[in-house]
Parts: sequence; structure tokens; C-alpha cells
Amino acid sequence: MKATPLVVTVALEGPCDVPIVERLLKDTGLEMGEVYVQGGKHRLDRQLTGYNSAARFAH
Amino acid sequence: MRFTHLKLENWRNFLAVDVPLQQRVFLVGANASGKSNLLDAFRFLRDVADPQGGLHRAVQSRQGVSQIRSLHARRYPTVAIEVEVGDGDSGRWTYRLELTQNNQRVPIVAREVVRRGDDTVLERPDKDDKADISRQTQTHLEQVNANKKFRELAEFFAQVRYLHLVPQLVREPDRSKGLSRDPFGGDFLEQLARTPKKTRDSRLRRIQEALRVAVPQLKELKLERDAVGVPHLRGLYEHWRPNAGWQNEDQLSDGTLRLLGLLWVFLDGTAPLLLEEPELSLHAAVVRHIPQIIHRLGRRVGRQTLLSTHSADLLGDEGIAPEEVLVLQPSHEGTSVTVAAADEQVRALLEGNMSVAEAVLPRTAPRGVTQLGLFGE
Repeated sequence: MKATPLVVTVALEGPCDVPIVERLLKDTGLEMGEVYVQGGKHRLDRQLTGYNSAARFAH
Repeated sequence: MRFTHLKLENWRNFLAVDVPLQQRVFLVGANASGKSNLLDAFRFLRDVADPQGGLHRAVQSRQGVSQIRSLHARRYPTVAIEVEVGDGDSGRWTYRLELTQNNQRVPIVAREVVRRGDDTVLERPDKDDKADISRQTQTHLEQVNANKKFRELAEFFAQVRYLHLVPQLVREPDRSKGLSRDPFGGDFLEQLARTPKKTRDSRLRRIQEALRVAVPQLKELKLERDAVGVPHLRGLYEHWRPNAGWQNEDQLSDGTLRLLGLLWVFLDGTAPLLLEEPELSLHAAVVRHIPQIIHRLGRRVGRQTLLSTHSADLLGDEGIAPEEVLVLQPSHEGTSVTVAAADEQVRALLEGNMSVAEAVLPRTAPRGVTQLGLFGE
């Protein structure tokens, strides 16, 4: 039976990072889930606490 | 009164929906996830309760029960809509309608229930329905001689207002000639013209004040009938020659017409309002204020508004609570509808100081949407 691939939620600095992460995940046998694209590193840094809290509920 | 709860079974995209509804409801989901079809459940109740409508007409205008029934429906093929309505003072109404069709594809009321609080006001089919099956082709909701005990509810449904204004139809009303209260704006100017002059002028003045912020060049608005009696909306734009800047509706921009329609409908009535993507054609700075206007309407006249949106600007309003947002997510077994507040991840993101737009919209984006960027390669 084929195993269900692990779906990873990603948070990124900007839209240019999306295809890179997608390729990295694909090469490691993972699937890309929801994508949170922020407008730059500063914004991503500000939201990190929220992302880490949300990750606790990932399943 | 307002809708406080919605349950759907086998309704279009949805196998089962069971969600509470707030004074403001924001429907968020990918394209074709069923946002309009969810709003259509309320329009359907309005069409059934409408004195010029009824069940048969409501179903036929949607091309029959088989078009309404979800493609995912299997074991229990009846279509069901159940709503709770209340305002905390006059008790709580529950209305449930289950539909099927006979061999001639005529819609049949499989079940109709009305409750007020814990008391059952109506439960069909009753013995009279069983003795005469034709009775089940009509709801009691649509019959004045049968809905006396819950007339308040029938009138409430009939007043539900839906707006998805298409500027082209406002400019060319011939395209929807003969329609009354056309939700796409075919008779929008006629509706304005039918409003008593005092009320109309007062509303236009208020709209003009608001429009002055969004469209600063617009100095005056008025409605006039031409020589053959067709109403025209005229706007005076700032110009170095006095009175040279008068323009008819066919020269007003899409954004101006849509904002005008939106502001008009906000002032027109107190019944629940259904809006499809109110952000269309509007500048982001204007869109950001729509949730506040709706909030104020709810507070001032108790009006409930349910709207679908894709707009990050609209959902970026910090006053939007996750309880007000319904997230639609399509799957192989139909679209699921969940209250954003019930999602632990969304709650965690919001506690991390994100707006509803930042926390919810990425969850509704289609997987692999980046591939769209390669179109044309």
C-alpha cells in the first residue's frame, strides 16, 4: 500500500521562495500544503511565534 | 431578526453543513468552492416565501431538484435546508424544509417543520398531505392561509436581499427588461426612481457625502427621468467650466457604480443582506472600510450581512472575529464549511497577531497554484 505523503505547511519571506521550497520538498518525498507568503524577512520574523503555535496543532 | 444557524444536507456543493451564523458572516474559499451556492440557500428560502414565488418557481428557476441536489448525495437523496432565526427577544424560530421530486420531476415537500422555541408549530406531511399527495407540491411557508402561525418567519424570509451589481446591466437596463428587484442591477435605477422622493434624495445626499471620499471629483448626484420616462443617474464632476461636468450612468466608472449600489443597498431596508464579492472594481483603500460599514449597520439597525470575498484587504480589518468567518474547503466528498474560530491552527495564528486575512486566506488557496504562473510558457 502506498504511504500518504507528509504534507508540510510552509511560511516564506516572498513569492520567489515558493518554487524553491516546492522543489526541495518534492526531492525529499514531502508534499507542500498551505503556503503563507510574507512580504519580507521582518514580517516573517514578526509572525514566527504564531506559526510555531499553529504548528503544535498540525496533523 | 437574523439567521443564527444554518444546516444543509445535499445542497449543491455540500453534503452536510452545520454552522452558527453571526451578525456579520464572511464566506471565504477557493473559486468554485460553493460560496455563491451557500448564499443561494438563503435566496431559495426567500424565493419560496415570496408572494410571487413559491416552491415550484424557486426550484424551476434553478433547473429542478436534480440540479440543486449535491452530486455527492448518495444514501439520503432528499435535499434539506434548516435555519434558525431569532433576535433574543421574540424567541427562536426553526424552519426545516426537505425536498425531493416525483417521477414527473415535480418538486415534492418530503418534510416541512416549523418550531418556535421548543413548540412544534408545523410538522408535515400530516394526514391531509397523505390523503392528497398534490398538497406536497407546495410548502405551507408560501401559502398565506397556511402560514398564519409563522407569518413573521415567512415575511422575514421574503425580505432577504441579494446584491451582485453588474455595472454593465445598470448602464444597459434593456438586457434585463421586465425583471423586478434584479440582483444584478438591471432595474437598479428604476428601484431608485420608485423610492419616495424625500427618502431617495436623503439617501443620495448621504451616498454623495461618502462617495466624495472615494471619488473626490464627484460633486453632486441626482436622479432624473428623460423625455420617455427612463431614469438616469447623473453625477457632476469637478470641471473648470461650471456645469460642464455632468455625466450619465453610462459614463460613470464601474467602481463608482458598484460603490454607489453597495451604499444604496446598505441604506435600503433592515432585512438580511447577501453580497457577492463587494470588493469588485473598488480600490483597496475603499475595500478596507467595508467591514466597518457593515458592523455599523448591524449595530444601528440590527441588519445581518452575509458576504463572500477573496479580498485580503477586506479580511485585513482587525475588527473581524474568527467566529464571523466561514471557511469553505472543497474535497472529493463535497465542500466542508467550518467556522474559522473552530480551527486550532487559525486560532493560534490569530493569537500570534495575524489578521484573519493572513491566517485564513492561505488555507483556501488551491494546491499548486504557482503552476498558473507558467501559463503561456
